[in-house]
Formats: sequence, C-alpha cells, structure tokens
Amino acid sequence: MIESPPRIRPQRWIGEAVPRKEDPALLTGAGRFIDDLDPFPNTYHAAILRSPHAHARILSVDAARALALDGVKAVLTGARVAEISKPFHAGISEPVHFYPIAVGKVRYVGEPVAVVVARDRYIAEDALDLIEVEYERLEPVVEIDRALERDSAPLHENVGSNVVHERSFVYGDVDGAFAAAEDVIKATFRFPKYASTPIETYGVIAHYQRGTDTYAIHANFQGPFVLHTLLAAALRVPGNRVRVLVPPDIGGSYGIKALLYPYMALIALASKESGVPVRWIEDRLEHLCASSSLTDRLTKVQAAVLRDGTVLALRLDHVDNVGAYVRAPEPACLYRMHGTSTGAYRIPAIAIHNRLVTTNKLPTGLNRGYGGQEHYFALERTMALIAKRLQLDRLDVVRRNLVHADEFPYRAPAGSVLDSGDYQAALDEALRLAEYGKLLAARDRARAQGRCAGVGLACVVEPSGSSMGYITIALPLEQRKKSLPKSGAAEAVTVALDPTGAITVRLGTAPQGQGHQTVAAQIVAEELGVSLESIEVIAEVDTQTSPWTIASGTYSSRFAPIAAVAVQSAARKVAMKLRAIAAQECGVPADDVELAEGLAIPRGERAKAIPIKRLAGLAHWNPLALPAGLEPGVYETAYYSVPILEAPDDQDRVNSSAVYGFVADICLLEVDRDTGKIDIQRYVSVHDTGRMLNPLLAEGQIRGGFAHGLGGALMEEIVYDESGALLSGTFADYLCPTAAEIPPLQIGHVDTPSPFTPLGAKGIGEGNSMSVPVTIANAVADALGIDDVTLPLTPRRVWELAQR
Amino acid sequence: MIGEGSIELAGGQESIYQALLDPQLLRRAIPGCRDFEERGDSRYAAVMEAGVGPIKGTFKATVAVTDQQPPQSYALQVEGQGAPGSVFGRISISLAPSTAGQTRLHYVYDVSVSGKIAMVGQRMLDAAAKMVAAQFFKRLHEELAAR
Repeated sequence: MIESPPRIRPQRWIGEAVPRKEDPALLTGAGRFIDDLDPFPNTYHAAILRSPHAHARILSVDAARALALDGVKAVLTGARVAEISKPFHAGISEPVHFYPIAVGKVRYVGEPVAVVVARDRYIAEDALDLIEVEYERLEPVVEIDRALERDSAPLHENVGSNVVHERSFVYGDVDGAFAAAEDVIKATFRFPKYASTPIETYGVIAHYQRGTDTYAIHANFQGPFVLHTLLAAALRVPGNRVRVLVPPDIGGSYGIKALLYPYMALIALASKESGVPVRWIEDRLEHLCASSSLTDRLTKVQAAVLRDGTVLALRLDHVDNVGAYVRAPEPACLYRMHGTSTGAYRIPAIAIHNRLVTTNKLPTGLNRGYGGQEHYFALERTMALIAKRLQLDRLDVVRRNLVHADEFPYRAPAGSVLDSGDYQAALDEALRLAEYGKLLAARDRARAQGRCAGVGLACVVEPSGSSMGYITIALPLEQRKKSLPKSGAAEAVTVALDPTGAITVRLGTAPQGQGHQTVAAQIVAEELGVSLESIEVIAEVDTQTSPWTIASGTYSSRFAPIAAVAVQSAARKVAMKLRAIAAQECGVPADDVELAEGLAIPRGERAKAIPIKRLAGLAHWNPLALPAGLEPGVYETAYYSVPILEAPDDQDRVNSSAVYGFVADICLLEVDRDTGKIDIQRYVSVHDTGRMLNPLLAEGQIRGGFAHGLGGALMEEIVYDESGALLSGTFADYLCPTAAEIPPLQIGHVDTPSPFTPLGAKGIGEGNSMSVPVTIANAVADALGIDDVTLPLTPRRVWELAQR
Repeated sequence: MIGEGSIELAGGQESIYQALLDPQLLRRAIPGCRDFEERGDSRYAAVMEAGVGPIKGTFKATVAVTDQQPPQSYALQVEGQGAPGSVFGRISISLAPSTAGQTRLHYVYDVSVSGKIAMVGQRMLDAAAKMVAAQFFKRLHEELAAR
C-alpha cells in the first residue's frame, strides 16, 4: 500500500450514493454485449448436439450426412477433441477426466456430443438432426444416496467409485466436548440443486489464428482468471497464445458464467478444426440443461450442547453432489465455507467429514452464495432445533453463542479470521427494525385465529474475497506440500492519464452489472481531486493487454474488499507522480501539494495552482523537465492482495476469505394450509458491509441476493427423474421469482470496517443468497411445528407438510 | 411414464394376435409411422415422426417382441432415438376373449423419455402418451374392421 497523501480539502466520493455510470448506455439500449460484437470477418456459427441420455456409452458418431449438408463446414466430435486437447485439471487427487465434450461416454442429459460449424445458425441446427449417434445405455445414478452405494455404476470407470473425494478434519477437542455435553442434537438435511438465471446466456466468438498458433476468444466470462490457465493447458498452448477478451457489458451471471470456460475451449477447438472464426450463443434450453448450478448436498449434523444452549462442538458430515464431473473450481463449493464452518458462533471444536460424489446430473460450480446456502441451511436449522429441543428461546440460544464484539479479530477453529463485527448489535438492530415483540404478537394472534404463522431467524457470516489457497485444503498435507503454497487473492488495476489529462481506469474484474465502473470512478475521483465525469473506466478485459492476476474476475464479492483497494493504490501512485511534478514546478515540497478541483494546489498558495492536465501534458511532452527519478507518461498499475490470506497451515486451518460481513435476517410468514401458499409478511435483513462504498449499489446487491435466496427457498430446483431425464428444462418448469413474487424487504446496517484492508469495505453480494433459504425454512418449521423442512417450499410441498 | 388401458377390438383373439405382429398393419396404425419393417428374430425397425408441443422430429426405433405366449400375451421392448430425445421402455399386451367376435386388449406401459422432449414437454407427456395410445388403438380397430 502507498501511504495516503496529506489532505487539505478532500472532496469525498467514496461512500456517496452516486448513480451508476453504466446505466445511461444500458437503459438506452446502447450496451455492448457478446452477441453485439462482430470482431472477425467471415464468422461461422456453431450448434451443439447434446446427449439425450443421462448415462450411456457412445458406440459411434456418424456425421457424414451432416457434413454433406450445404453450408456445413465441420463437425467436431469428442473423439477428435480428445486427440487435440487435454482434460481440464481439477483440485482433487482422483483422476476424474473432464473434457468440454463427451469422450467415450455421456454422463448427463445435455452434455455436448458434437459441434457443427456452419454458415449460419439455421444450417447448423438442421445439421444436428443429421448426425447419427449410437448409444448403449448404462445405469443412471441420480441421487446422492445411490452414488454412495458401492454397487452404483461408476460414472468414471478409471476412478471406480462415485465417491471421488473424501477427507476428514478435526479442529479442537471434539471428542472431549461430546463427552462433556449435556445433550446431543442430531439432524439430517438435504439441500436442493438450483442455479441462477442471468438474462444473457453464455456466448463465445473464437478465432484460431493458424499463422501464429494462437487463439482469440471473445466470451462473456466473469473470471476467476485462474481458469484461463486451465484453458491454455487444455488447449496445449502457453497462456500468451490464448487471448481471452471479455466484452464491455455482461448481462448478469451470479457465478454461472465462470463455468463458460469449457465452452470457450470447445468453440476455440471448433474454430481450429474448421479453419474459420466461430460464434456460439447459447440458447435458454441449453442454459437450463448444460451450464452450471450449485451442488445439492446431504448434511448430517451432531451438536454437543449444554442445557443452557451453549454449543460445545459440532460434527458435520457432508456429501456434496458435483454432478457428472469434478469441474474446476470444484470442489470449491464444499470448501469455500470450510474455515468458517462454525458460522457466527464461538464454537471451539468442530469435526468435518467431507465426501464428493458424482451423479448423472449437470456439473456444478460458482453460484451466488457458493456453498453458503447449503452450509447455513444445516447450521441455522440446527440452531433452531437446539432451541426447540432444549425448550429455550431461539434468540437466547443465538445470543449465547454469537462471537462477542470484543473478540474480533476472531480466529475460528477451522481457520477463518473473522476480521470485525458486532453481531449482537446487528441482531439487535434487526429485532428493532422488525419490531420483534409485535412480530411475535402478530404470529400468536394469527395462530389464535386458526391461521398458521411462523417467525424465522438466521445469523450468517458472509465471507468475501476468496483466497486462492483454500481449495488446496481438499488435498492431504503431504500432497499439498508437493506444490508451492497458494495464498492471497490479488487484483490489478491501471490508472492512466493521456497527454490532455484525460483519465482512464482499466479493471480486470469483468463485472456483470455490479457497478464497478461507478465505484472505481468514485475512488479515483477522490484520490485525484477530479470530477466523476472526467474518468473513463474500462471494464473490458483483454488478457493480452489488461492488468490481471489469476484471482481476477468478479466472484466471491471480491470487488469491495480487494479490487477497490487496487483502484485506490493505482490512483495513489498517479497522485504521487502528479504531486511530485507540481512540487517541482511550484518550488514546494510534494507533501504540500493537494489535488482538488482538477488542480494541483500548493498549500495556502491557490494562485500557483496548476491544472492536472498540464502536469500530465508535461509528463508526456516534456519528459526532460520531469523531476529526477520519475518516468515519462502517467500509466500506473497497482496490484493488491490481502496480507491476512495465508496459505493453509499444517493443521489444515485456512482463512478462506479476506473479510467477513454479517447478516441477521428475521421473517414473519403465514402458510395457507389449504393451498400451501406462503405469504411473507415481514422480512428484515441487517448487514455488516464494513465501510460502504456506495449505498445505492449496496442496496442493489442486497435486493438481488434476496431475490436469489427467495427463489431457492420457494421455487427453484433442477429436477431429474429416476432415469436421469431433466424435467426442469424451461422457465415453465424452472420457476424463478419475478418482481411480482418478491415481498417488501427492510434493510438495515451495523457496519464495522475491516481492519485488514485499507478501505475497510466488505463484500455484500451474497449474504442474502445464503441467509434467505434457511430463514424462510425456519419460519415454515415454526409455522407448521415441524422439524423436517426441505426446499424449495413449493405450494405442493408445503401443502403436503401441512397435512401431516 | 406409467400407464395402462384397454380396448375392445373386432375379431377373434388368434387373428388379432397375428395382426398385432404384422409390420404392414402396424405401420398404418402407429401414428406418425413412416417405416416399420421386420428384421427377423422378432425384432422390428421403425421410423416415426413424433413430438410434444414445439419439440418434434424423427425417431428411429427398434422394437423387440418378447415373452410371447400366443394368443394371450406378449411384450414390446422399445428403444427409440431422434433429434428431440430418446424413448425407451416396455409395453405389455394381453388379449382375452370378450363378447361374441370381440377381443379385449389390455396394455400396460412403462416408458422413459429423455432429452429435449422430456425437458420441454414433460408436463404434456402423460397426456400426449395417452393420446398416441388412443389413436393407435382406434386405427388398429379400423384396420381390423376393414379386413
């Protein structure tokens, strides 16, 4: 970090409710999305033949008739892909080979089997019908329980089992705690498979350039750019021959567009095979069957407790279903919350048994909340069950176990360092906003009138800024030691002034609607003392020319804790240079120069102020006049990583995220016993966002996460029948909440800036994706007086629960 | 998809049993059937147009006749595949004498549908299957009556 310059009259932008810079273009239809781009002449179109079977051997693929169709340039099959590329690497020991197309076997409905490259999409789609594939059907393995059985047909014969990963961890004296316990609460939870549904689907335009053996791949990819490394390895070229270009605008992602990378490889190979640039824009049917989702998970919990509700220890047994392949960055879903497994509670001991299974379902990956919704569903249901079993007030049990405000930074037993917080105060604020006493009275009144009402509560820690090292904890220590340690989570940003003083900020974050351009402009405007309007922020990423790191991208809510600091660092480098030039011109020390109103002003000598554009002009036009030691031009790149993100230690502890926010949710709802409909009457969510960078954007993130969490709680599920056929292939069957289904949300804040980053900001994009499903489940359990609640709480399921 | 049904057919049990294994008659009776030929060993190859809602296309199917107990019962093992998806399952057919000159046919099917046709059309599949079955037996009835 660069030291802050002295500030005489600072113009504050950070923390202001500045409207989004991005919106004028988006709202007037002037956005530039992947399908708006036409980067290469003579671009052909791809269509993908997909498996109708959940599990089958491919006996033959005959593309002769497709190739004979006028306009068809090439047909790429799995056998050919296996010849010209390598399987993608994933972070587990077992050799689960994953190619971007089925090789030898299909393992889920919708898996690519062949790619047709044709003059237009119509011809390409027609040609799909002419490809003849012979399959030999195999036993489908659909559910976790079947995958755990030794005799289930292994998806990956070379692994020999559908349990493809298993590790156990013990932190603290778990056995001692269970021996000392006055009661042990046991429960089993199943969390469903669902996804996120960006308006814009996947898109790739790839061009293999024969002359240089390089690939140029335009894709609405969100990072993490470590996947670029995997992509290059799969394509068998060094990283500098795979130029990935992310368009200026991406129409939503919520994690799912990280998993575009196999299609980037597939279309790049299709371009190589066909000798022409190839465009593929995914349609909605493809997206719903073959993009990505989060995992479905089976969790068994044992909680060792005292009669007063103190939790002494937890035993967690996880089985995470990654679908047909372990597709990088999996098994991250299982490990993202690992260091934070004890949540917001000061539980001193925990044992974790992790297994990963493969089934004939869509492979999994990043999804807003990534692992958090699964984890907190089990943890926060358990806390509710503890209160119920011990006949204690739910609030008392939570309060008794929450980490205290004076314990921060708090090192959780599995390794996360909870940086800052005041969980009790945040919970109190939620209770105040919800008018908790009145809320309970309203519930009891409804019950007295024969209606079915319930109150739900959840407290979750929201990690943001994932470390690059946490996934390596999936490997046993001796195996981990064979590679270099992995730590940190770096981001890179460039701030440049051209000869006229015009300011350009270049990000490596590939945002998908988060408003990074706006916040970056706020930070740079504040640091350089210029207007917001004078700053252009480029969100397009080009791996050949943009600043980026393996951690770059937009995921794990990392902009606020990490990328924003890189913006500030780069701006401060520029500010130092401008002040140094101004100091020489004015004959004062650099420390006495302030930047404000577009000027460099010597302290107390406003008449001597020099416009920043003149200083920039000097740096470009007259380098001989620069102070000794300064380089010509104004082009400063800064890298920032969070120092506290250390590699996993020898005791398998890992601080998996840079900073940790907090969310306290309270909900009152009524259940209609006759129709199964849930009516959410009150929903309050209080957040700890650290230092808030822009309240408008923070609110947008909270509302977006709330909608996603609500979908998971009430509607969304990727459903397969017992044969592995996908039953939720359209928006008529895969329901998502629309504005009409989203109840009012009351938002509050108890913000405690992180002491571990210069800006103190915490990510805020995923907290409600994690908290809402279990808050609603807790409220429904309270309403119906039941212990077993399974999501999504569709009217049919609720009706069935209500009939018991 | 699991379902069953029955229908009264004109004709004696023996002749209906034979007719039900006649490729020419089946080709005419199966809705959307373009081709139905015997491949020997009680196996048939069929080509048919089928679909649900917006998902339509050509299926290539193999049909194996098993568990033959003439003239009482037999089963059909069906495996079909086409651009819209795949269909596989078993249809059991049993015949019994009914009122004079009539035979009662009872069918039970357990069929799985996969691929795009299941993804898009699953809510309509049950109804579509019932409709196809009804059409088939109506045409069969007409074919037999015309003999």
